[in-house]
Amino acid sequence: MKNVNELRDQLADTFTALSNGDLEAKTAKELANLAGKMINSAKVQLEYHALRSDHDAKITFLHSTDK
Amino acid sequence: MVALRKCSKCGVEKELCPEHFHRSKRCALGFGYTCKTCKLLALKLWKKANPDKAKAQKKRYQAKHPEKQEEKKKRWRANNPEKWKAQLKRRRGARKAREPEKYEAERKAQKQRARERLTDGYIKSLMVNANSLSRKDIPQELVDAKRFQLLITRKVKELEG
Repeated sequence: MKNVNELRDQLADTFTALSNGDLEAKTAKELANLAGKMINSAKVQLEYHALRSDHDAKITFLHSTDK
Repeated sequence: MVALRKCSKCGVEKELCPEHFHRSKRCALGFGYTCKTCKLLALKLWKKANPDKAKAQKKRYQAKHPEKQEEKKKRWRANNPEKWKAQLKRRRGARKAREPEKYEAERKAQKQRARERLTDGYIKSLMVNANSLSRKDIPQELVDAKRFQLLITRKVKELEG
């Protein structure tokens, strides 16, 4: 998962698998936990740029589209 | 050659065109005998003299053409976003003063609904708890990812009972 779009797609797949019963709750919980950490780290980067009033800054995780 | 007509009210001679005269099938050459300026002035005076009738007439028209009213409102809201925001704020304040308990109950219900539906606003409110970040700083992709994360967490809780 190199960017936020991939993370979103992965989470969507996880949710579908969990709803269908193809994935264990424990695994899904760990994945959600990991996603939370990634989202929070992106948020910290956003906060950093907001504090510096650098609103046009490019955050690789949020703005990259590389696969 | 340009046709001219003398207004029957002000007596000024004006060009016979839709810019100066209202269209009328009953009158000669398809235009009325009174110029637009005089007609509008007369209408203004009539409205001032008969406020109740004018109000009733306006209401009748609005009831007959609700889609036009909605379009007009939409246009005004789009052209005056600041005024519209202020108007909403005023209305909310007035409502809060008039029915405080009902207002609070509705607000609570609204918050609950947002929490259940995981709306963008609710997710952003979770993310902007830190005071340096504002809602508009959070990109939509991050909101979507957070929404899926919350959905999974909820589903896991549901499955674990």
